[in-house]
Amino acid sequence: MSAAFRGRDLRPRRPGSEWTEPISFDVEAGEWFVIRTTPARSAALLRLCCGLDEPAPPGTMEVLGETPGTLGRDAVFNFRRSLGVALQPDGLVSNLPLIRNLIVPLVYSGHRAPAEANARARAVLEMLELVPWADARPSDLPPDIRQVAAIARALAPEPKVLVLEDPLNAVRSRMAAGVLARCKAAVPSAIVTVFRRFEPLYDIADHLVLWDARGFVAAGEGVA
Amino acid sequence: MILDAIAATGHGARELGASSALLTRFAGAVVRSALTYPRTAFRLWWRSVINQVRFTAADAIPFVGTVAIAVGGIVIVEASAQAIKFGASDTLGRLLASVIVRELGPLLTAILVIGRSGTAIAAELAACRVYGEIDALEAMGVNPLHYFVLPRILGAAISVAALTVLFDAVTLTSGLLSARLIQNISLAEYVGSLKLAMRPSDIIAVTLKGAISGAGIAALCAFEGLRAGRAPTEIPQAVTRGVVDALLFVVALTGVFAVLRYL
Repeated sequence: MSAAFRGRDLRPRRPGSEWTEPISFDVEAGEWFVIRTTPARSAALLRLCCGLDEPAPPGTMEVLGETPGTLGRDAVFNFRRSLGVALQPDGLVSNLPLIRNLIVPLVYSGHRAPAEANARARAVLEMLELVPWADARPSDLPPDIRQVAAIARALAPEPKVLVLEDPLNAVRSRMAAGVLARCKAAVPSAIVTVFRRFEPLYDIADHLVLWDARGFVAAGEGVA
Repeated sequence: MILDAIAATGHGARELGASSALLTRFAGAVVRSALTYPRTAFRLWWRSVINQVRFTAADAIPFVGTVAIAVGGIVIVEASAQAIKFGASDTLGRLLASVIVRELGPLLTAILVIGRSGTAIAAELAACRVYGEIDALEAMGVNPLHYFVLPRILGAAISVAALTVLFDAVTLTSGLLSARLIQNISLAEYVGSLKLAMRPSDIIAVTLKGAISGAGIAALCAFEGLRAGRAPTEIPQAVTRGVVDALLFVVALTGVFAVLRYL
């Protein structure tokens, strides 16, 4: 099985991060890899996964066989079309209604024509039970719905892998479990960070690790 | 003390050099992104351009029109009073054409657009940066220059060109009314002196200057907005930088056009 994500000797370039020791890890295809860590480490790692930042040398970050840090500007945008991303803050465009928040990335990334994008956005909103909120602006959405909306946007382009940052911390456990199950059915490979114990994510994880100042120090169900 | 001054000068020069390099890279990226625009986005793109024109030009007509009426009244009354005093009323048209139509109209219109729309562009993009909207779209394969910057540049270019022509027309009309009421200059005399001083190429040059100003204002304000960091306090700083850059640009552009005319 090939790796969806492969990090080697990773450290961020930006100074001032809590992340000082290099880490290495593999996330196999078809695996949900959940990391419990701090917001600062999470943000730094997931930005590397999306090619928004480059690792400090000699570290390398491979995603789906590509090394986003070494790609040119146009190539990195092409590469990112394989990713479904929901970071913190969620980054929903505040002056667009929810459905257009799903349509715009599909159309502007060259994935689909507007009519197809509209159909796909409606299908994803239906899948995550967000249709009643389709025409609401992000500022009018309750925090839990807003988090599910960010996941809907990540799922819309039918990505090969998901990159999710503490994705459902405002959502009740039962609803979160349902959303996560649908996400996993749609996209079997993901790297997910979480900032505190969150049972629905722990239940769905294929690999669960704790990442603190010593690196990845624990794995499996013992992480609390 | 002297060493501190030298160090401060050096630091300032280095900052200026770094900013210039970034701006040059940004300009190159904007041109390249225009050439790689995704076909799927053209329809949505036009909608963004039209929105920008509505915000920058249509919604600004009352504001720009009011300023143009005031400027026309003041400048033309003052100029015609002096022209009559020195027995040079036949030079009034030349004065109006060169001061208002060619220079003051485009410059004042650009300044009004900087105050009204340039600030909005810089603040909006800086806020998008602070609240993660730009990172989120970038992470999903959307080039922020395609979505956020290019429609604003084209919309602002169309808007400032149109507003400049409008500003000149309103200023000359209000000047005519003021000159007739206060200085008793006849319509034929006024129009005759304008005709002598203006050529059709002036209108083309003014429209072109407006379009370049508009594109520059939007591009510089967008550049500063996108450069903002992740703290909310960076939003007003980005706006200030955007306004200063854009003002310097339109003043320099006015100088360049003036020099080119007399070469």
